[in-house]
Amino acid sequence: MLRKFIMTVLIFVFYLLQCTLFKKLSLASVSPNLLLILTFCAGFMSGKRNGMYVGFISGMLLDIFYGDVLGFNALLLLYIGYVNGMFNKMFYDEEITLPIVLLIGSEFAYTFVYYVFSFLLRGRLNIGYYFIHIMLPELAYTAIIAVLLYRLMLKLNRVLDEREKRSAAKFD
Amino acid sequence: MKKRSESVFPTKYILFILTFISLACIVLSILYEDFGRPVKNAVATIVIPVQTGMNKAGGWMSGRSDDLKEMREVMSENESLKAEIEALKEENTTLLLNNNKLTELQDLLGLSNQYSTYDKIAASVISKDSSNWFSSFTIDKGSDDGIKTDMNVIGNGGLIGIVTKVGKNYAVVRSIIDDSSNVSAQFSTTGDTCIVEGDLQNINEGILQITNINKDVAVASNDMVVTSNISSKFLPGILIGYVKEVSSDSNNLTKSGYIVPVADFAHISDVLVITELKTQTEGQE
Repeated sequence: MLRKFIMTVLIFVFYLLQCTLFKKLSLASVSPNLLLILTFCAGFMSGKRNGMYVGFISGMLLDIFYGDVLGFNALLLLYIGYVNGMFNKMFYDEEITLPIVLLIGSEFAYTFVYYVFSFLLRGRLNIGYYFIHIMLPELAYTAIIAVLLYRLMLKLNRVLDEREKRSAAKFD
Repeated sequence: MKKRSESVFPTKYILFILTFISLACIVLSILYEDFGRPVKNAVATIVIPVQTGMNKAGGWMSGRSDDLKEMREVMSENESLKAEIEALKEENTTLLLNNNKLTELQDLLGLSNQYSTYDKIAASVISKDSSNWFSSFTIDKGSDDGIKTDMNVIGNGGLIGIVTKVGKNYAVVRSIIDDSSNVSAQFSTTGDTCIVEGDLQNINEGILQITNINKDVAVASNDMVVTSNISSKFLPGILIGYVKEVSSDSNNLTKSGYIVPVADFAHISDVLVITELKTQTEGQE
């Protein structure tokens, strides 16, 4: 319950930061994809189920304000949350290589699919340009922010896990 | 703990259900423009006030830090500016003369600040597109303040964009540098029409593409480009920018080129929404 509440608040806060503060802090005219980081963390740290919920809700939030169609980002982030949730079994606190690889993979998949559906299908074929000027900077920026955020999320996850264990023990 | 939550409902089913909901939303929102409006408005009632607040706080903070920086600069600047004033005074007199001539010529062209007579609503930009692919932004005025879709948005003395989505307390504006933006425009000198296209590749260089210019049109750089009379959504005579360069297309029938927009799209913070709709004015006439 507490996890759900905190996740909802985090989605909300990350969305606000992504659209306001990080637009101000944009480098090379791109800003990081915070909600993708959150979806990834939720999936990777606490399983498919949580990843899906967080991905779906944050995607919907993005679609409500800036999507051309409702549900596109939701679908995309839903699967990112789910796929990262599959690696939950391999999640250990100290490991950092796997999460970085997973995050970069997710971010790449996300921007690529986004490009295909919103640009390629409109006849913008110059993929090289978009790759160098949008996808790559966004990937790098998101990865850097993710390294910082990942540690915070780890701590949060540990606290939540312990609380859940304690309350589960009470019921036994 | 883990076991208990998983036993409720298999994860795969949830995945299918959520996928289905997303796909249904996509299809429905393509078919019906108004789909999901109550949900959108409900979410907006929470999000928009917070965004507005955050924006104000952010603006205040950056204002304070700017103040300190500026103080030092201002002191030294003051000296040099005093000297400049003298030189400028002289220049001003010549410019005044030129200005008179300009207004005369603008009157002749029928362009004399046409849009200063339209009713406008001032609005602040509270957030920008979450993705890096498109250039739309949200303003803090919505249908409650009388904003409707397709209303033109101006600022910095030129056209900025058009309202594409309206909620109760917010509206989303697609700027003219957005990759999916097309504006029907004309050259103020000749009256010939062209299309101003936003393009992600050109945004970084701060220019817009113009296409579909008739090959016989004589265009020089620094010619004014304004919204055209035949546009279905944009009111006529709103300044868009100045021609940078024009060259013939490979088909030898049309020309295309680039213009420099007057508005500074990187630093939009306040805009004016013209509450008159193009279709509405035509209907009255």
